[in-house]
Amino acid sequence: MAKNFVKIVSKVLGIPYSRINCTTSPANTSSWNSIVTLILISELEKQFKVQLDIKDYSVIENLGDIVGLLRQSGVKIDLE
Amino acid sequence: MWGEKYGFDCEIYMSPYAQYSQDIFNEESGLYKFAPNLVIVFIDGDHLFGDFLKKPYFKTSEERGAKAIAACEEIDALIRECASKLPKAKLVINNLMIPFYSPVGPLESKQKNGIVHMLKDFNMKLEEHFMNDDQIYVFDYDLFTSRIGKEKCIDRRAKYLADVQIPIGIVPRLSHSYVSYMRSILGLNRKCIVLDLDNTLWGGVLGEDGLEKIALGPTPNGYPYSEFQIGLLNLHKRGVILAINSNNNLDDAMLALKNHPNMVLREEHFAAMKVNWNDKVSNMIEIAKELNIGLDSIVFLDDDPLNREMMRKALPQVLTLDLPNDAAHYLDVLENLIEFDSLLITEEDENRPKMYAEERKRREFMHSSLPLSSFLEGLQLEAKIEQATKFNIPRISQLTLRTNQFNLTTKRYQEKDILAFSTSPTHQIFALSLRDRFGDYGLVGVIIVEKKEESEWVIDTFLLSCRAMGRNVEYSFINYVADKLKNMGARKITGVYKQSSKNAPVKDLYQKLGFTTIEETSTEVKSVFSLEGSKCTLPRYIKIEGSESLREN
Repeated sequence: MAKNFVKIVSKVLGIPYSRINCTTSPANTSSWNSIVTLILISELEKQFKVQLDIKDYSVIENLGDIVGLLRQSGVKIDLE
Repeated sequence: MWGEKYGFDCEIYMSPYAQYSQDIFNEESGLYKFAPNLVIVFIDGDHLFGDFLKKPYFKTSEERGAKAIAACEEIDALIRECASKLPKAKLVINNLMIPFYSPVGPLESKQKNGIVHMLKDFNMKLEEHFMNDDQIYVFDYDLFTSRIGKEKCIDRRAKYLADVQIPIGIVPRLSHSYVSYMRSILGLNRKCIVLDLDNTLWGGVLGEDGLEKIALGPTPNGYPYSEFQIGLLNLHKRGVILAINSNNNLDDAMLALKNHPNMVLREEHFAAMKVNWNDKVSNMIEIAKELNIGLDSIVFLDDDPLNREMMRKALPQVLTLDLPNDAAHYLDVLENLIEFDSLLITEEDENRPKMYAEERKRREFMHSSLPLSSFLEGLQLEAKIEQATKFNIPRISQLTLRTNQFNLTTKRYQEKDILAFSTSPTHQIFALSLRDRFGDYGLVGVIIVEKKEESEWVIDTFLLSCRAMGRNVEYSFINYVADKLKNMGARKITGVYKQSSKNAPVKDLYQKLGFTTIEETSTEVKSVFSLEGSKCTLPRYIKIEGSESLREN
């Protein structure tokens, strides 16, 4: 599960696997803007067959938050 | 990815968020530093109309009517500013999606300048503003959303989060729509559709079912094929060449083409016909050769997956499309084609299919009048050479964009470039039109020369459309140009052959025309023709008419 997550994040943000962890955020990733957040969430929703609510978006500050939201939606996922 | 899917690569510059106006009005902006070939301005209704869209009935009908005009003028000023700063680029501006919701419900149609009317009015005015502009094009985004389903074209979540209304999921399809502009600018349009017959142009197998039993015409089984043929006829009307590649008995096929009452496409619509029992790959190579077009100019349609697979493997340059299993969806394939999209349809385009039909008659004449010299003499060729005018500039530009084989330098020029050459004191443009006893070829040849020194002119562009190749018209053409330049004081003409992936047929042209090679590398040959003494051998069977004297320089 985490493997697919990392693969999608890497592709959408254009960063290597080694840079992907719970603290990866728009603040430390120059390619990450609001459109990219949309694409990322859209790709993850497709992959894990879940639908996140708009109110969830406001809590997203880093990848750790996205993992947390996916877990709340029933996706079993771990990320360092 | 782009190269693989669309046959070209591109670099993209994107204006920073909501700063397209700043980018356009600032001469020092990143946009102008990037100097693109194509500018896509994608405007959003909410940004342009603001409260007029959100709370339309808090405004008066007069205010709404005026807003449509003002918004259009705002866009006009923006786009024309950009166009003037990037004279070589094409610009595409979208119209707006007509809303499918009205705050006043069923009373919407009773509102003067209502929200729907206001946007329809804006779209119509936008089209009118750029109707006759050959640099600026309006992309019909409303039509695009209608096709997909307007509800599917709004993502409110995306709007609230990132100020983008378009769902990410439809972006690839939207991008695909814009690709047709890029292909057209780059001269990558395809030219010809090659068709199978059985279960493609009609339902059933002609050889087995017989003429009376094939499905074609006003029955549930026949309708899809009739409509498909009408779709093909419409493409033919705008200049797409049609040809047949079918395993069938020729006599049976001709009988169907000539005598079936519901046949829409007839013999005269096809520029080449390979109806035999040879393999379709060999047939395809022969069709390309016969029509003098590259395999990469061809789209192949065949219902048989095996034939398609063979074609894809053997000739990947040919675009082999899948036909759906159900013929009811055949027409969708034609409606989704962007390969023939062009930003300009010239008179030559509309006449092209007729010209190819005439060419088929010429081939038949050639077979009955060997040797070649007798054939060429029998054609009674007449060439007319004139300078660039406002009437032929679109065609001259189109020839530079599309001609690949007989093109010595393969320089691509937009209409604006040709217009600039036509008024430049150091350039001359010669445009050659050709006709023979079978019909008119139209404008088929272009030579652009540039004055380098008082007595030396350099051939910048020398091209001949594939339909005029093999008639030795190039000898008469260059001789005419040489004579004119000599009268203007020229002593020598320099010609350069620049190798491309497709212009090998003209590698030795200048030598054949009597030029002397002075420099040669693996990709370029520079030759010179002295106007003091040397003379190229002229074909005596081509009558030349020069229509105008040259501009004084």
